[in-house]
Amino acid sequence: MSAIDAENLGRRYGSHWALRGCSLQIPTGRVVGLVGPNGAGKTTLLHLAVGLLDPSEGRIATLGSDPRRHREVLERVGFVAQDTPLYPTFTVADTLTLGRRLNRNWDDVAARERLGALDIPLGRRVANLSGGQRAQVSLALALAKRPQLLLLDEPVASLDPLARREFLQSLMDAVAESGITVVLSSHLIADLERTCDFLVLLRQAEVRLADDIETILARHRLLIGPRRHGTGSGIARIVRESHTDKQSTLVVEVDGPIADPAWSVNEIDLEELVLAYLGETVRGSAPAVVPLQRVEAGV
Amino acid sequence: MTWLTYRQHRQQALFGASAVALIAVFLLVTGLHMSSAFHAGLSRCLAVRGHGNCGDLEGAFESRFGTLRQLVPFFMGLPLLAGLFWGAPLVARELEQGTHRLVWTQGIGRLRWLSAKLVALVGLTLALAVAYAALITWWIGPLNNSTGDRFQPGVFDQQGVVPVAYALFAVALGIAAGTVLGRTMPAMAVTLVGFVGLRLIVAGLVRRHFVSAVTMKYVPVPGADVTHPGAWVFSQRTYNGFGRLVSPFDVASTCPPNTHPTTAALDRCVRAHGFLNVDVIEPAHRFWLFQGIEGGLYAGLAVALLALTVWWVRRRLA
Repeated sequence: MSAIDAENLGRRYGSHWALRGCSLQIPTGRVVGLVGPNGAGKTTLLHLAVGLLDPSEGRIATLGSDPRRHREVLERVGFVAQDTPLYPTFTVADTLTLGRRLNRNWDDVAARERLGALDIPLGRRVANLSGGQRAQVSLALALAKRPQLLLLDEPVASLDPLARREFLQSLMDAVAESGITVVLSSHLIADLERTCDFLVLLRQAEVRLADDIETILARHRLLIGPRRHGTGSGIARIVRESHTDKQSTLVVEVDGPIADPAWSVNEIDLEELVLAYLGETVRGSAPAVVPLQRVEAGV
Repeated sequence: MTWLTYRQHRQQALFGASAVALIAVFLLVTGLHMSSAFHAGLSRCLAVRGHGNCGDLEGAFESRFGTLRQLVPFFMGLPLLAGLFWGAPLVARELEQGTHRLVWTQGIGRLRWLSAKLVALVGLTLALAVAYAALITWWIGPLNNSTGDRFQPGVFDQQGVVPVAYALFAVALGIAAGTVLGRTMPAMAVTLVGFVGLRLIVAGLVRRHFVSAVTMKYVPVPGADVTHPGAWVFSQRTYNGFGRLVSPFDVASTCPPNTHPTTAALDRCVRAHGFLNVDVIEPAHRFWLFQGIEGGLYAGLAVALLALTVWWVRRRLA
């Protein structure tokens, strides 16, 4: 069973597709980074996974069940929404009571210990917490459900670097203890590089990449050489190309050794690769890519 | 879920209940005073002689308690306050703060979340409104009876079952507007305009057509005006033998009572000139029928708005 299994999943707002044609299997036991620019459909995908939204087309199963029709599956899913919403007038203790009363599985001791270790006073009102503390309370709330799957929507986006690091550290500690599947969306690739072992990349409402990070990195190379179009054996697909007067730099997907000795072949790191995909040359978007299409057709 | 609803809204509930309690104390104190003054003599006189014939007693009562009538516009605003400060933020504040995403992804469904909120708020509104309506109906009794007038717009709206229906409607309107608009301030604006607008339209234009009015035609008796105690009087007109509208005084000046010694002679004179009175009224006994129709109208709208809220939360917010 996949943690999340989407098939041709799409969601439309009026005539605008926030997510379209999304087919995706996220295996269990992984820490998944969900990346993409703002508006790429990350939040929409997560909201579909926790039944906050209905699909406009296709289907999605979370831990094997449709989250809208079998909402009891949500008892096994922890979700931290964007901006970590909490009731501002509640104290931290009230917030834990909320979790205890709304969930059958609830580990109150663990939640209190977790917050105690972070020096977050239970009697303080949520409105008076720092952004980092709020995020930690949200995480504690999600983890106290003892979920099999934890989904976090940009949990660190609004945090300062120190709070961000602390949050990700708590998250990784919890994952190491429990072995739960985590899906973490972010537009900060550096955050994901340290924490994730599986990558899902969304761009313009579509899934561009979804695989093990090691597999992805092994499949891509950075080619630098004299100015030319990327052709030849070994190059399965050009992700992105840039040219100066004399030199061409290509990010390519490979399907074998690069035959052309003129290319200097380099490994690529995750950040470069993600940036290449985010700036990916899209079919028909500019005249400059016309030769590329011919190249692709020839492979 | 009950705990969450209580924890979230206890301040609003406490504030609202205290406000109603304060009003109740005021109504009790003034009401007891007014009631004892009324029963000290005026009520017996009115029972025997009828309205307008207890001059001094009526005048004294009016001058002591008539000013309390000026509170009526304030009481009219009470249901609106419930709609603005209880109804509008109920769902809208959650949508604004994003906390619906927190609650809806816990172990209970959004439908249970919504029904707990609706039951709590509608239940509280209903309880307070019923208590208030019972109290105000008792309180306003002597003021009704001193003039015999409880059917007029503004007085009718202040007693019986309609205050309860107004409160339910205002709260439901606030909830539905907040749910559909997703923001508290615009929802409050819609509630304000919607509630005041509908109240004015119904009271001013629609209510009189609930049941068609009764037209009474009769030969006038000079010097003895016919009154309709407790009725809603739309018009009282006098016509002469040519079908022209005349003043009631024309009847008395044409057939002066002092030159016609007997009632029969006076009556002959009036009939000979063809005078006819035409009164258009809603009779007093229809008061509760009208209360029922207006109450049902607003309660029905409240139910429809709550149904819209449920549908919107289940379908449109997904």
